[in-house]
Amino acid sequence: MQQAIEILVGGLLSGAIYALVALGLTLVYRVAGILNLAQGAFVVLGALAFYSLETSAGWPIVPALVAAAAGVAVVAVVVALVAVRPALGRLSIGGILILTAGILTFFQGVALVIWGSNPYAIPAFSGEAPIVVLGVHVPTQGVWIVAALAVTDLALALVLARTTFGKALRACGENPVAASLMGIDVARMTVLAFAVAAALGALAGAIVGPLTALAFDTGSFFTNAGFIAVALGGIGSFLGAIAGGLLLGVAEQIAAGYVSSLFSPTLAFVILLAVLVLRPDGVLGARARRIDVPQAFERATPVLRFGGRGGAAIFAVLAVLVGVAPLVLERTGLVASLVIAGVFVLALLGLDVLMGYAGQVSLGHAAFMAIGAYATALLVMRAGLPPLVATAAALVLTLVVGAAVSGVVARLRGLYLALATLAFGLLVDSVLVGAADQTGGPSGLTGIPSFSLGALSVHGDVASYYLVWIVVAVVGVLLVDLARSDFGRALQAIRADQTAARALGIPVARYKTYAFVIAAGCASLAGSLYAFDFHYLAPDLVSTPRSLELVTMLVVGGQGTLVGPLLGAVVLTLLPAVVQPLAAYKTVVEGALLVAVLLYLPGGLAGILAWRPRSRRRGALAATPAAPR
Amino acid sequence: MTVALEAKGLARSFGGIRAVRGVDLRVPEGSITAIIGPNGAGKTTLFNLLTALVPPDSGTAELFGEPIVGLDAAAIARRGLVRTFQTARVLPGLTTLENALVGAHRRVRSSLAAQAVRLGRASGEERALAREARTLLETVGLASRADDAATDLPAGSQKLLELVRALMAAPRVLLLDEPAAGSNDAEVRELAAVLRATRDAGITLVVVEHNMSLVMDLADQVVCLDLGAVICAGPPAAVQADRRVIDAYLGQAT
Ligand SMILES: Nc1ncnc2c1ncn2[C@@H]1O[C@H](COP(=O)(O)OP(=O)(O)O)[C@@H](O)[C@H]1O
Ligand SMILES: [Mg+2]
Repeated sequence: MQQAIEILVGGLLSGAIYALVALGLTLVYRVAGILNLAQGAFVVLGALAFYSLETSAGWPIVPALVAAAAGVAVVAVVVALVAVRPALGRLSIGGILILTAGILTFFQGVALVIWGSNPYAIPAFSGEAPIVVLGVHVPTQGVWIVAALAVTDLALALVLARTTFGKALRACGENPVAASLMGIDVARMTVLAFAVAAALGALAGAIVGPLTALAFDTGSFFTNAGFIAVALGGIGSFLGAIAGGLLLGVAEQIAAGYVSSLFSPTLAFVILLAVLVLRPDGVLGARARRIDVPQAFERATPVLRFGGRGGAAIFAVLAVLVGVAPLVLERTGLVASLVIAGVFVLALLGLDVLMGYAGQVSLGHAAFMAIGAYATALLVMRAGLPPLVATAAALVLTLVVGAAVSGVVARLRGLYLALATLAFGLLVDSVLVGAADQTGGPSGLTGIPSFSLGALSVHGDVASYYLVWIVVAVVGVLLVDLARSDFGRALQAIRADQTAARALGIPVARYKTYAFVIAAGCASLAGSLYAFDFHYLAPDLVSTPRSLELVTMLVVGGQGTLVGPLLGAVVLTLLPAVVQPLAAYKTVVEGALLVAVLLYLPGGLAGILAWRPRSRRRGALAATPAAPR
Repeated sequence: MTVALEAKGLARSFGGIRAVRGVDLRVPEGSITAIIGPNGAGKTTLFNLLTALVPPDSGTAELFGEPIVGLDAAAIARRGLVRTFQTARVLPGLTTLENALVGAHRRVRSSLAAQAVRLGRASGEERALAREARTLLETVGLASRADDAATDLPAGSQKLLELVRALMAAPRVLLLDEPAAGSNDAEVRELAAVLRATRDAGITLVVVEHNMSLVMDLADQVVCLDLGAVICAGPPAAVQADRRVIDAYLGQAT
C-alpha cells in the first residue's frame, strides 16, 4: 500500500512537470495552430541557465528561477520573431512542425556548445532529506513542483479569463480570421504565446532539475513527454494538458514499478499511438478543434524538374563524380564519410517518395532503418544467416511493418500523421533500449561482420563505398523511373489534392501504403548497409534524433525531385568532416540550416540546380482581376 | 437506347438544408444532358453524390446498369464516371502536361514493376499517353504551356486543363460543373466544339451550365433543378419556355 502510494506520488510529480510542458505547447497551439516541438529545448535551457546562476554563480533560488525563466522567454521571443513569424501563412502545418524540430535541434546544439555534453545534477532546493507523511516518503522538491504547477495554473487561468491578452488569445484560438478582422494581430499573439510558453517550460526545467539528470539533448525527452500529454488530454485543451500530463506521469511510474522500467516508455508510446489513431480528441475528448489548420504538407509546391538535356548532363557528371571519388579521396579519410552519406542517401530516397511525392510527413523514418539494421545484424550474428539472406529477410520484415504502420496511420493527416510517425519512432527506440537481451540495450551491438557474398567479402572503406553506392544507384534509377511514370504522378496528385485525386480514380489509401512501403524498404536496406559498414549498432544511431536529421537532410537537399536526397545527405555529412572546426557546431548548423531552408529556399539545394518552368504571364496575370465564379 | 447514368430518389441534407431532395435522373448513352437551375439549387451537390465525394442520405444511382452508390470515389472514377469541379482543381506542383496525364491514371496498364524499370510496354504506354495529352492540349490552345506550372495558368485555362485531364481518363460518362464559367464568347465557342466532338466520340456528357445559349446549342435534354428538386425536364426548347423554370430564375433575381 505504502509502495503504491509512493509510486502514485512519484507519478503525479513527474506528471506535474509534463503538465507544465504541455501547458506551454497548448498555449502556442491555441494561438497559432502549431505544435512547437522546440518546447523541450526551452525546458533544458531554463534548467541549465538556472544551474549556471544558482549553483555556479551562487544566486538565491527565487531570483535565479525568475532570471532563468525571463532569459529563456527573451530567447523565445527572438526565435518567434526570426523563425516562426515569417513561417505563418507561408508554410503548412507540417512544414511548421518540421521548422520547430529544426529550432529544437538548433538549441540542443547551442546547449552542447555552452554547457558541453556532460549531464548536470541540480541540487534539491530544500535539502535532500524527504518529507515523511504518514509513512510515505515525498521528496522536498515535490513541494516546489506542486507549488509551481499550482501557481502557474492559477496565473494562466486568471490571465486567460480576465485580461485583454487572454481574451485576444482565446479569440485567436477560436477563430483566427475573425480575430484578425477584430484587429488582433495574430502574429504578435504568437510571439507572446511563445514567450509565455518558454517561460513555463524554463520554470519546469529548473524545478525538475534536481529529480532528473539534464543534458544538452534532454530537450527532446521533454518535448516528447509534453506532446504525449497533450495528445492524451486532447490537443488544444488546457485542462486536457494538465490531466494528460498527470496521467502520463502516473502511467509511467506504474509501468516502471510493476512491469519493468525498461519497457515503461514502450507502454507510454503504445498508449500514445492508440490514442492518436483511435481517439484523436484525446481520452478526455477535450480537443479544441481548430477549423483553420491546413492539413496539406506544403502550401506552395514549386515545380522543379531535372528533365531534358540539362538533367542528363547533371546526371552524367554525378555518375562520374561518384565513380571516381574514392580513387581521388582515398588518402583523405573522407571515403568513410561518403559511405555513411551513401547510406543516408538510400534512406532519404525512400523518405522523398513518402514526403516529397506523396506529401506524407514522417518523423519516424529512422525507425525503419533501425528495424532493418538490427534485424540484419541479429540474423547474421545469432542465426548465422549469410549477409545477403539476412538483408533480404530484414527487408521483408521492414516492409511488413511499414505496411502495418501505414494501415494504422492511413486515416491521419497533417499534424496527426506527423505525430503518429513520431510516436512510432519513439516506440521503436524504446523497444531497442528495452529488449536489451537481444539488442544489447543502450550500449548496443558490437562485432557485426562485414558484408560478404560467398567468398567475396567487402572489407575496407573503398569496397564498402562501392557496395553502398551501387545499391544507391540501382534504387535511385528505379525510383526515378517510377517517379516519372503514372505512379509518381499519382503520388503527387495525392499530395496536391486528395479529393481531386480520388475523383480521377486514384486509390489514395493504397498509394499511400505503397509510398510507406517504399520508404520503409529503402530505410531497411540503408540500415543493413549501415550495420555491415559500421560493425556496431546502438539505439542512438537510428533513433528519433536521426529521424529528425534525415528530415533535415531531405528538406535542405530539396524534396520531390529525388536529387535532393543526394545533395542533402552528402553536404550535411561531408561538411563537418571537411571543415573540422565545424564538427563541434554540427547540431547548431543543422538546426539553423533546416530553419533557413524552410523559410527561404523552398526547393532546397536541388531547387538551385533544377530547371524551373518559366511563367511568362505571371506579371500580366497579377493585373487581371479574378474571374467571377 | 442504353441508359448511361440513372439516379433514383437521390437525397442529401446538410444540417437543416435539404440540398438535394429526391432527384431522379436518366441520361441516355451518347447524349448531352444539361442541368440548369439557380445558384444553390443543388447541382454541384448532385454531382458530389454521383461521384461519392458526398455520401447520399438515400437514393440509388447506376452507371450502365451497375449500382454505384456505396462505392468509393476512386472506384467510381475507375468505372468511367469522371467529373470536373466548379472551381478548377488543378494540381499544384505539377506541370500542365503532367496534370493532363494524371487523368489517364485509370487507363494505365503497366505494372509498378514495369514502370520502375521502364520496360518497353511502360515506356511505350507513357509516350502514347503523352502524345495524346499534347494533342488534346493543342485543341484547347494550351500546347505552348504544356511544361509550365499548371497553377500559373489563368483561371479560364485552368478550367480547360481540367477538362483535358478528365478527357484523358477516356470516361464513359463525363460530368462537367460549369465548364464555361469565366470564359469569353470565343472561348465558349471553342468549348462547344470540344464538347460536341466529345459526344460524337461516344462519351456521354452531363453539363451543369448557366450559359443558356450554350445549353440551347448543345443539349439533347435539359433538367432544371430548384431547391434541390427537379422542377422540369425535357427537350431544350420546352424547358426554356417552361413557366416554372422562368419563375425559379426570377425568384432568385429578386
Ligand atoms: N458540404 C456542404 N455543407 C453544407 N452545406 C452545403 C454543402 N454543400 C452544399 N451545401 C448547400 O447545399 C445547397 C446546394 O448547393 P450546391 O449544390 O452547391 O448548389 P449549386 O451547385 O446548384 O449552386 C446550398 O444551400 C449549399 O449551401
Ligand atoms: Mg454549383
